[in-house]
Amino acid sequence: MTTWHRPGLAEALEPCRPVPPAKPNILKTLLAVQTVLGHVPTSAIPQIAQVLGLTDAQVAGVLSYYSDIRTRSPSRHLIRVCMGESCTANHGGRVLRAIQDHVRVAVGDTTPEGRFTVEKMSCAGNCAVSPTVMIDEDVCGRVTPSGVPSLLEPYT
Amino acid sequence: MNITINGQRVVADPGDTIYQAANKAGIAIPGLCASGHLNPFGSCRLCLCEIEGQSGTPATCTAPAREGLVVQTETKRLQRLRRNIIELFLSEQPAAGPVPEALQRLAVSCGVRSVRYRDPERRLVYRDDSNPFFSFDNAACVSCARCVRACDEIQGTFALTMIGRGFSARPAAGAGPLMGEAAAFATSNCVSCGACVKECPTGALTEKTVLEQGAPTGTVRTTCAYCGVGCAFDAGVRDGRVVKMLPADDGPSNQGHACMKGRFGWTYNDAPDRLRVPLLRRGNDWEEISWESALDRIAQEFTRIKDTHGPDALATISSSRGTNEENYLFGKFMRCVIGTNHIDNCARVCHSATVTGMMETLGASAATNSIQDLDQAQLIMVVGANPTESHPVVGARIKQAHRRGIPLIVIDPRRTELARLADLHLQLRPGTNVALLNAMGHVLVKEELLDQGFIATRTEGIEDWLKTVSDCTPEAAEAITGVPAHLICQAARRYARSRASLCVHGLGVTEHLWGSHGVIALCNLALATGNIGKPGTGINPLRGQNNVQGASDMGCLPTYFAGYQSLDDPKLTALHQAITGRPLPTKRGMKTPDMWDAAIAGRLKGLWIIGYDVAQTDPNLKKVHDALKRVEFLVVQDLFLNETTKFAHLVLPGASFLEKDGTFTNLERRIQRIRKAVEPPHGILPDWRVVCEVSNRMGYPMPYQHPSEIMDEIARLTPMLAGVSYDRLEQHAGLQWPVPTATHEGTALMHQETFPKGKAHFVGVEYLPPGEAASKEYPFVLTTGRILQHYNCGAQTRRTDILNLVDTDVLEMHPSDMERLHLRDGEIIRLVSARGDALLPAVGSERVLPGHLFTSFHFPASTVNALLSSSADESSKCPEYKVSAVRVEPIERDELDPEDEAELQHMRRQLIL
Amino acid sequence: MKTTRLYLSNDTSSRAAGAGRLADAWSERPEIQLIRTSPRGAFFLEPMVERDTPNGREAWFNVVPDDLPRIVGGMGGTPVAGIPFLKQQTRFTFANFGTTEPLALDEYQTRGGLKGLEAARSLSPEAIVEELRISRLRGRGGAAFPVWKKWQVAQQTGSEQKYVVANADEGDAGTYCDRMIMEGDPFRLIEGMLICAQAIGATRGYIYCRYEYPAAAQTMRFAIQKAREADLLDFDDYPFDLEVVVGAGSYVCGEETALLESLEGRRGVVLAKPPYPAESGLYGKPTIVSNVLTFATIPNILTSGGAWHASLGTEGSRGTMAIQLGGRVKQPGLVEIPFGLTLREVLDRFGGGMAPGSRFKAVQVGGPLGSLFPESHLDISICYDTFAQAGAILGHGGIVVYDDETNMVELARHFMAFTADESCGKCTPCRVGSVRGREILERIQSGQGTAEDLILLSDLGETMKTASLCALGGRAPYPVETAIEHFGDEFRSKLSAFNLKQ
Ligand SMILES: Nc1nc2c(c(=O)[nH]1)N[C@H]1C(S)=C(S)[C@@H](COP(=O)(O)OP(=O)(O)OC[C@H]3O[C@@H](n4cnc5c(=O)[nH]c(N)nc54)[C@H](O)[C@@H]3O)O[C@H]1N2
Ligand SMILES: Nc1nc2c(c(=O)[nH]1)N[C@H]1C(S)=C(S)[C@@H](COP(=O)(O)OP(=O)(O)OC[C@H]3O[C@@H](n4cnc5c(=O)[nH]c(N)nc54)[C@H](O)[C@@H]3O)O[C@H]1N2
Ligand SMILES: Cc1cc2nc3c(=O)[nH]c(=O)nc-3n(C[C@H](O)[C@H](O)[C@H](O)COP(=O)(O)O)c2cc1C
Ligand code: SF4
Ligand code: SF4
Ligand code: SF4
Ligand code: SF4
Ligand code: SF4
Ligand code: FES
Ligand code: FES
Ligand SMILES: [Mo]
Repeated sequence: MTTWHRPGLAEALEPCRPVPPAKPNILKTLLAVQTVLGHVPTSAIPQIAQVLGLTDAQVAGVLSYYSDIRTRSPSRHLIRVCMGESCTANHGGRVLRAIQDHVRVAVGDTTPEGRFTVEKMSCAGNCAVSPTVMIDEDVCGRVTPSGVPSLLEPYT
Repeated sequence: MNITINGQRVVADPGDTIYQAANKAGIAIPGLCASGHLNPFGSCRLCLCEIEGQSGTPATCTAPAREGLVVQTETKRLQRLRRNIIELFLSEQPAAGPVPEALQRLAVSCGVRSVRYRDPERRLVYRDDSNPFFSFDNAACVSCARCVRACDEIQGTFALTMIGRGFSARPAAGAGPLMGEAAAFATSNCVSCGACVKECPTGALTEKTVLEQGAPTGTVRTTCAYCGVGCAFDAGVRDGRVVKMLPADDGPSNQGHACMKGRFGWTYNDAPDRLRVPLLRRGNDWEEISWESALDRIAQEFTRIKDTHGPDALATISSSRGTNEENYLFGKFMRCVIGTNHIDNCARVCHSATVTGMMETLGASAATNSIQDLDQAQLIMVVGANPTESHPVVGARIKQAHRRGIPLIVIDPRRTELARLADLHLQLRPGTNVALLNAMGHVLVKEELLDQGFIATRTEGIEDWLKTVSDCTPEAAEAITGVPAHLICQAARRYARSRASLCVHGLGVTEHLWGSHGVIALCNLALATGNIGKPGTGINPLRGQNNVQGASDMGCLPTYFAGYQSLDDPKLTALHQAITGRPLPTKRGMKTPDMWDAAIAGRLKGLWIIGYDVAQTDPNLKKVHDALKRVEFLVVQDLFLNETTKFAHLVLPGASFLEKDGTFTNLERRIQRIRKAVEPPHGILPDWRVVCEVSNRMGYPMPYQHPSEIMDEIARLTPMLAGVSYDRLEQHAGLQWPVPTATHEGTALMHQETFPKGKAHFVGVEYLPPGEAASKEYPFVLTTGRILQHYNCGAQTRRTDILNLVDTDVLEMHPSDMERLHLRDGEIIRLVSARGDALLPAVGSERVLPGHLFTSFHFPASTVNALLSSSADESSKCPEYKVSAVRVEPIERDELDPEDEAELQHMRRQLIL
Repeated sequence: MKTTRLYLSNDTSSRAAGAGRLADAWSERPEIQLIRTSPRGAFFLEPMVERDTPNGREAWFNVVPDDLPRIVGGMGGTPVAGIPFLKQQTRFTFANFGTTEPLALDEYQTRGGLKGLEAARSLSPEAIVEELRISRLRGRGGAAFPVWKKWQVAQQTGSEQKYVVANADEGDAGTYCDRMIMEGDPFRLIEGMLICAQAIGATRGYIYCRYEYPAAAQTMRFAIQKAREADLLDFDDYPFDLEVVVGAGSYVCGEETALLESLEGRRGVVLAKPPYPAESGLYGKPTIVSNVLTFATIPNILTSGGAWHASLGTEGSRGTMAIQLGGRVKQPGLVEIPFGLTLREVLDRFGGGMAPGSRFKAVQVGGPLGSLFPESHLDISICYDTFAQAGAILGHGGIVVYDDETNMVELARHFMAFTADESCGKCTPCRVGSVRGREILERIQSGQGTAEDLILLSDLGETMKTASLCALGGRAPYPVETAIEHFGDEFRSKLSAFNLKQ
């Protein structure tokens, strides 16, 4: 019964410990962990479950459901290319291809030096200035394939 | 409510879905995801319907029945949709390998001949065989989540979840599958109750016995023979062997649910070391002898002892594991053939304090209410009981009540599963129940929370109680019990104010030096607040073994005849003489501990024990062993060789509950049938036949052909059972005593208008300390009790695959004590008491408080009971199993021989997992 | 030196278009004072800078940093009132947009904010519901259910605890008006929710905001804090608690039952109804789940009366519609107008034609589950009922225009892949069907499809439409089927030659 320890996890979990009558909230807790650690490693499930007073299964079910909760540790920068209809209509697919060509990595993967991870995303609500690319929390609009290199340049 | 389904008029009950209403009317609507035990879900979409005047095709399993609905379930369109959905199910099945039978049947009945999708993506190939009792095969799964919902909504263990989403959504145990773990069930918190397996519509979850031996070809309705819940089962039989035990939906106490032991722990029945033939001791060896000579031998020895030493030199201990009929006959044998009341049963070490305590206050010694009352209770108070492990089906029901918002109070020194969930957990020091309960009484009085109407009309003697509790302040109790005074106050208030507070209690109340006082203190609270005689209330001992209630009911007690009738009642004496042809001995007999004293003193010469491993489970083993050694002739009748048979002169094999007919009485006084599902091996005689045969040989013929005849005799002799007969027991609900007449429907709720003695009695009881306290020499308090997986002496559960889950008793110690003593998880230590010592692996556990230890007693190797004293409740002789002062000693390596060493290494591995 | 007040939108899309870069570039310029406002909604003009003139605001479009001297000098501006895209609109819900600072509660109040709440506080709960009944407001989240009916159920269901939940999941691609409200006029949403709480007796509210909207969530948190400080959250006899909760990337979590599951922290799986959330929702208590835009529409209704609202729009669709133009139109942006214009009129008057160099092919209304319309079908009027009759939906008001470079087979595959990705996995038609649909379309795209595949696809479509538990599976076939219906040749020409002969 040795408790598995990862720096930061216990601290991230402490505010999520349910105080009756409040009920434990798994999703909120996972997001809180992700905020601190950048991702939620599956090996943290038992500790999360223990703090919430729930079972591993309950935590695992939620963790595996939401696509924005990452189980692998992220790269320095996350590039998310919108695949929503407005961006698709504005040929966002070409932007995605340009990005992949530029950083040489498949969707879902991370560049070897850990600089970028490329993902698809659903609508960022930026449809009026689409195609949209989100880099970390920055929303970029009217992205063109040829503009990709200069777009990514500042993110080192 | 009237609705029309496919032109047929159907009556629906309020709350019914259309699907349920159709089912009741015998109209079959295809469906995979709906279940009578689970909340509406609506995922498979096979059960769609069209409703006149409404657009759309709602699922009947989620659509409520409403007056006047006109529903079609078999229109062309619906049939087409259904075929297409089945086709989708088939399309995800693995390309090779058989389609699950349920899907195949559906496909055939709905006319799906082929799958049109080419080269479709299939279900992930994933198997999990890690549970000892059942396997999961994702290929056969339809992702209906019934298993997950069963684990949540029936069992309340939350060991399962759906993982992933969309096409890949599938069930999984624990977090294993996400963490790359194939043995997911084994590493999850699954308690192997089997609810998920039962709910699975496709066989994706299937019992290993069925996978290995084939599906049953017939079933026999019977009752579980482990704990007192009395779950009804259909024993599935194939080729003369039981291959599956399926809990029955119409089982009155379990309603389709079960626990690991009843559901999967029956395979000891086919254990290779089942006793097959009678064994006679020859020095240190056993000689196999014939039944004839064995029975002759008993008759000879008992006759000899009776003739030379008188009837009082003989005694019997009857089995709370056996049937009512067997117990009655054993008592009859002692009273009519031997002429003594020296008979006892295992209730002595269990709930005898309940019998005494409830008799004194309420005048009847059994649960006042029924299990179903848990659904009516507005508050549930659990005192000294651990039902999620000891009575798991009741435990699950309490968890579900709590999920519905019913407040839960738990009084227990340990942080049990229910204590963790509870609204209030009063974590008292072991042995201090009376102080705590009296303080609750004090608060009731002080805050005017008494039910004066009830007290005035239904009770007497309140003054005595008022006097006792007047100085039992919560603050004083806090000093004794360690429970903060404000928690005691809250508990008292909530218990009094809920409108219907139901109390269940267990051995944490009874197995103490002052156990019957604990029971009395509990009854006083119920009387003071009027929480008795009403639905959803009461004092409800969670009786332990399958028939511990029955064994006492049947008069296997030294102080009472069947039905708790006084031995000196002249009317009974006459009736007994008339029916049995023999007088009823009036002198009280010996309780089990008295028997040990008598044996040691040389007064007890012959002893016959059926199904009770006293040499392992009674306290102060050294003394018990000494006593057993002194007995001239000891007969033991059991399914297996156990610790007690080591002392026996003659051992008789017993037939198990699957091999005989009879009745058990469960913890809610419900008499239920067990039925022979398979033949006993090697011509073994059931216990009742053995008694008959010996009696015949001793000149008192017992010519019964069937247990039903025995029950008829019991009914004639016992007013509270007068209306019981096997004909009436054919109904699945059985009968709850009292059943005074043949037309009386039985008693689900006792004491509604009067108590047996007219009024109930308050009895003031003062707090008195337990027999031992922690001292310098023995600084820890040890409590012993049960774990879910094993059962009492373990003779049965240790012979099943349960052993793969737990193969040793474990000492639970608070992590801070572990640290203080520099112990690692799994390290073997020596426990020492003033009586003896025991070796146990220690494990850090926050279930116990610092200074408090807990262990189970299911493995003879750990000799836990050697530590315990012979101290017992004065009036009932219920032993003080729950409080012993002990110390913890490290063990030296060289004390262990290499074999032990290997064994311990293995234990440690199992523990640390 | 005299400083010039300039107005620049702080909205996410304005920033994505370059407003952020402008603000950075100008941050050290002493001659200006930059006020960060909500956007006008004319995103094709962003970044757009405005300044006050005696004749009202003037604006500069598509501004770059070097334009500053021109703007400070007052050269080349266009009167905002003269911008056709804006002039032709009827702004009620979005009346504040482009003028106020989002978090300035006093400005909100000066411009008529909180009057609705005041009115509600002087009315009985029943009277509030009655006002809504008269207004004939239907929910703006997609299902277009009469708002008052839900409120009445929640009001009449007895419970100590009730909840108000704003559905800010805004999952439909091509829609962004909820985000605009949260970032640009947050107090309007709060006011709408408070009115609802007043009407049903709720003590707690949640705003369930999608993960993709970090700025909106943050603005709402600040706004709630300000509202709390201004004692707006204090009801007569109890405090009202309001909290922003963020989702984690699941389209289905916009569906109300899945949303509530997610709000409780569980898997966002759809639940069968009944019970409806209004009777038994969050933690089993009566709960109103309404769209952000719906809540934002309500303050005006209480201020100006239900009858006022009912006087706008068409028979079945009263009030205004917030249309969000996107895709290949020349003038993407937010359009608030009464219901009733035709699709063609909207595209012509507001869309301003196609983006330079592209030709119209089709338009999709109502998000990823909405139907496609070709040129010949544009004369349909924007109104819930007309759309329903055509088997289409208005949804949340997103309109996306596709140009002739769009491959319809690929687009259809894209739609099915979306459903397969986002399916919660509960019900069979959607869990398995969406993958089968995607596989068929992939096969067609790769030239391996047959005529039978098209038949199978339509059979599958019927199954998904009629048998799915929620509208994700239920609507998924529509964009695919309308693509096949209107652009069938593109599909047929891809079928394998072998099968064409048959
Ligand atoms: N799995 C399983 N089930 C069983 C059995 C089994 O062996 N295994 N045996 C069956 C039998 S024979 C019986 S009698 C029942 C017994 O069932 P239970 O009554 O549940 O038995 P125990 O686990 O012995 O003890 C119950 C609780 O009493 C608590 N306790 C100890 N001391 C005190 C105290 O001073 N005050 C209070 N309030 N609580 C205290 C313990 O911490 C423990 O949690 O179970 C039956 N069911
Ligand atoms: N330390 C400690 N010790 C305890 C307790 C405790 O809490 N702590 N609890 C005590 C309690 S409450 C109880 S009830 C006892 C129980 O202790 P026991 O009665 O000794 O244990 P059981 O395992 O119930 O069953 C005893 C025997 O009955 C046999 N048996 C089962 N069915 C049949 C049958 O049909 N016919 C025959 N002939 N034999 C059968 C089994 O094989 C087994 O050997 O343990 C007591 N001992
Ligand atoms: C798959 C699916 C996704 C949905 N997504 C949203 C959404 O993002 N925002 C929204 O307001 N409603 C969404 N809805 C509709 C909601 O279920 C619900 O009808 C709505 O929030 C009610 O609010 P209203 O009455 O204001 O429209 C969605 C429905 C479905 C079936
Ligand atoms: S066996 Fe019981 S506890 Fe284990 S997963 Fe199945 S339902 Fe849950
Ligand atoms: S294992 Fe059985 S019950 Fe569980 S989801 Fe699969 S088919 Fe349903
Ligand atoms: S709860 Fe008791 S009676 Fe029921 S299956 Fe388990 S051991 Fe048997
Ligand atoms: S603990 Fe507090 S509330 Fe309870 S009796 Fe003592 S003083 Fe009163
Ligand atoms: S239609 Fe799709 S999203 Fe909706 S309930 Fe079914 S599986 Fe889930
Ligand atoms: S579709 Fe890409 S931002 Fe909306
Ligand atoms: S049985 Fe009704 S949807 Fe499955
Ligand atoms: Mo017992």
